[in-house]
Amino acid sequence: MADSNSSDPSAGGASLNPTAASFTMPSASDSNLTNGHAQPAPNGEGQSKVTVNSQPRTAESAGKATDPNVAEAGAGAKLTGAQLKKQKAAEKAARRAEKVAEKGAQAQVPAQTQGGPGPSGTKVEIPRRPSTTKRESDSVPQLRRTPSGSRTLPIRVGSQQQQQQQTLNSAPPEKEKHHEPKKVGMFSHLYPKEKRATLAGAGREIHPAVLALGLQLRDYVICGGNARCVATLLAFKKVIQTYTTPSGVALSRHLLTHLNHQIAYLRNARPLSTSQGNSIRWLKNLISTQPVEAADSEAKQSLCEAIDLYIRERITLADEVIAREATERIEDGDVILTYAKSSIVEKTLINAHRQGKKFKVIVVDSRPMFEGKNHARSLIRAGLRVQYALLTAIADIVDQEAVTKCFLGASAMLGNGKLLSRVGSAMVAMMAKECSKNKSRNVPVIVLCETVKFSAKAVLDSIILNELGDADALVDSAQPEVFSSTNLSGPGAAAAASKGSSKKSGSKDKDTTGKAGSKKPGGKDKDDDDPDDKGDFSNAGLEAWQDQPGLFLLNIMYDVTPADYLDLVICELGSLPPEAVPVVNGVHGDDQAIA
Amino acid sequence: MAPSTASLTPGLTTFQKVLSTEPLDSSIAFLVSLLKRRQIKGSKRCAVATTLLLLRTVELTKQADSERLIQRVSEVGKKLINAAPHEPAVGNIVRRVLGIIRDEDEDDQAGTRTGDDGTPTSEAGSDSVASLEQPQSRGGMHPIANGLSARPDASASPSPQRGTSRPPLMSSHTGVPGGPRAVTSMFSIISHPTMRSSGVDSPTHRSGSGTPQMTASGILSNLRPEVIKGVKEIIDEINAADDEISAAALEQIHPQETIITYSSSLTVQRFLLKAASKRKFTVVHAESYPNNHLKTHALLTGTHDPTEDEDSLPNDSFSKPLTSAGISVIMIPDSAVFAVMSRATKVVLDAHAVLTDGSLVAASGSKAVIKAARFHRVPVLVVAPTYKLSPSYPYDPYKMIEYGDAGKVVPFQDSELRMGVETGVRNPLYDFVEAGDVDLFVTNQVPAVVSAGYLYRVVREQYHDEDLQL
Repeated sequence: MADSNSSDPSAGGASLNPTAASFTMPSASDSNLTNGHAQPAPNGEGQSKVTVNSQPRTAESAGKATDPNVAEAGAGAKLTGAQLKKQKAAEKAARRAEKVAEKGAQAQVPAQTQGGPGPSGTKVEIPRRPSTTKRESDSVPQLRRTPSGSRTLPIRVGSQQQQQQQTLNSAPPEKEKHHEPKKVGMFSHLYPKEKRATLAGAGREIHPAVLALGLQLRDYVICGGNARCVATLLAFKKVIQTYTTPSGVALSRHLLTHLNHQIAYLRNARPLSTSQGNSIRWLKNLISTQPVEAADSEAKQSLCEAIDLYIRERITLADEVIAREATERIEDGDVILTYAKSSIVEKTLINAHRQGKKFKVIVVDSRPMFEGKNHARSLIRAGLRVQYALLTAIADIVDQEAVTKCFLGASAMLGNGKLLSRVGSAMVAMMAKECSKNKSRNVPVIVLCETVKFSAKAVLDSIILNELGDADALVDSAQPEVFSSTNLSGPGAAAAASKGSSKKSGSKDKDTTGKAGSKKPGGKDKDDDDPDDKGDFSNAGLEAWQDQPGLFLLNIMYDVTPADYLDLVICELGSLPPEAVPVVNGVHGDDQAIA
Repeated sequence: MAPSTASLTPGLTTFQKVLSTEPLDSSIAFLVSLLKRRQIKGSKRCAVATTLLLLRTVELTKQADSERLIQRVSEVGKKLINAAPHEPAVGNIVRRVLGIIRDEDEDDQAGTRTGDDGTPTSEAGSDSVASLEQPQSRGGMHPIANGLSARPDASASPSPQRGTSRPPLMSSHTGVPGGPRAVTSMFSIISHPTMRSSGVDSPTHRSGSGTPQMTASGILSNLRPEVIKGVKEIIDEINAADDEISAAALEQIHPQETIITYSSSLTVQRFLLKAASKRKFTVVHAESYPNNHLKTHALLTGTHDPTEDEDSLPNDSFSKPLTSAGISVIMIPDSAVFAVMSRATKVVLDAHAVLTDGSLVAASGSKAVIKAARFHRVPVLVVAPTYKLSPSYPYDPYKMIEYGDAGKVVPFQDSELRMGVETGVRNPLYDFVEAGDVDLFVTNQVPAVVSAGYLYRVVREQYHDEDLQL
């Protein structure tokens, strides 16, 4: 742990620094050092990011408590397997109860904050107190952490201050309940069954690094398949480093259950991406095959090394290989269409530019995330010729700009050759194909995708395998955004994206306490802009959609591009037709085939 | 230029005020500038404004025979068309008005030319061109040719071709304009009642009002009042178009459907509302982000769009949201259209203009929606009031695409992106969608539902052949 912390600010913090709410991939050179993912101090967002930043710190400060925690958990686990199971069930129940209790408290937190600049800090602080006090106070009773003991958890969580909060105002929960049933029927399976992860709602066995990661995932601070995968692995590496096997159990058995809690927390924060799922499966498999007789430290050592190797091989080097391969497919005079933001596409384009190729890039973008703006910006910084357009203008762009190639990133390549990617990719691929058709041109659509993202799942439409973003992100129609001077580093896109996430955290209480709600920590850099936003909201129209019966807002995150629209998939194993995805997957469609 | 009377940005209301108070020339100049400045935009508004102006033109062109009227109207029309080449509705209305004049004129002629011979048959073939290009010379020529110098207003030469543009009966006569004229006499009127009723009266039929009885058949024919009446009917027709189109809704939408629509359109809204009055279905509404999403949101919530100027058209002021009719509406961003399309059963779109071959100019992004529908084999309906049916052929479709405020795509404050992006940021307002992907057009014409293949006939029936090229 100490090791990872020391390397944090220098290598990890710098390379992983997501300017404007995005996550840059570690480059090959420093990827080995990027351990401390949990603390990417995002300079781009300035002091506003302090909120996110301070979370790891709180977590870190509480981190010392984790060691005894784990040890005690181990002590508890000295019991038989059946008891262990029981205990786990009890813990789960306790966590659930905790969450229920927290839910009420959470909703009231912003209502309590008295506007002003305070809120961004308060939310972090309020959860911190319970979490730290909890740990300290728990360290004693943990000794009797039998099933019966852990059932007392809810009582403990309902500490005085939270109960006070609950009694202070009971109105917001009603509002929240009123908002609950706004689900689009077709997508009802995608709505989270329980409340999204919060800092306070996390169980005590959750490692601080995972806690921080969960929040970053939830708020789309870490976004994109590769970034999420790397961040998850790095967080788990920390978990493993700080983990001590309780005496009497094998590491291979107990660490898995320990990890499962972490995974559940992450999944609660945001549904796992295919890359995360694949790498987690790999990690679990690796842990379970650790020799029982191996010493703790050795096993941990080998696991950490394996994780580093995995990241390097499957993501960092894979990206290198893909970028090299894809670069060869860019020729002078090309006009390349790309959509939203993909780290590997960006890398490829910049790589090709460095090689002196003359080409033009058209970045297509769409609401509500505007990831393409960041993409376009970084390409512009790299000196490329960039054109930026919105998805509505795609027909015009494809017709008038003589697009020659289309590069898309992937969230997953599915077993039936379809591409799961950011919503809108399908339209871009389709228009690239359709508009060139009657001009006797063919625009090849090329997918850049690491094998980590290959999945054996096969779906036919975009409905089943999808993820829902925050519907309130669509409400924002505040035109034209007024830019404050402090906001220049992360304008438009970041503003919109973070507004989306701010809504997520603030949506519950938006109506009652609009100001405080939108200033909750998710809002990051929006503090300055909020007055403007409010002014615009007054006439925007959709902000009251929750109260209008029959009106739904749907913000899905992914769509599935049919294989007909794809020509080539470039992965680190080579270039394949999309139908050949199962070949990569191996017979079982599993990661194992190529691991 | 006429002074704008309102302190607000001038719009349709201001124009109407100017029209009633100012002389014609300044009204024309005012409308031209309004069109150029996009202060009147959208097919419907343009159509209404054009009709009003042409009505005034006809009213003020006193002592005019049909030649003079046609010349005057096409003069004014050309000015408007040049001012707004991106608004085909303007040209459509000009053609319609010209068609009315020609109809009425033929009426007159048929009624008044008793026993006249068909002497100028040879030159009549060039009438269509000549009457437009050299109207003055023709005006002087005809009274002599017809031997009717006493009443010049009855002599309009292009009228013989009237029959040719009414295909059901006379299509075989195209290019032989002398034919009908040869038989125009009192007796022939009596003996060819079918021809007369179908040819002459149909424009008023489609406007849904009574046929103007043969006032001109008497000795004292007066062209202008009839034309004015006809033009006024165009206005009524424009205003009633949405309702007439919505009458077809129940034939198209069945219960439990999922219907995707795009951008904000009152016509589509009314169409769906009509269907919602009897059936329950789901509407998925994509918002058309940079240009129309605010209007879409306003349409969905039923709030008044703040960006909309006050001078809404008679039927547009009141629009209740679909949700009030018990319909569940799902609003999606444009990017999700493809994803959700797999669950849709129909796509209903509005168009900015429908061209004669079935291609359309529609809100930007429509092409992607239509192509997505095509991929998923979802039928596409396009609602197209008659004033949107343009007889032009898309030789150069991209000149119809208009570009809007680029600041909506990348705000001007965002200097890094703004300056870094090459050749500026483009924000097309319209997409051109090639013919072939739309399954049905719903118009307010008599065959309310037209398949794409038959559309050209419906379009051509709107206009006279002489007016196709203005």
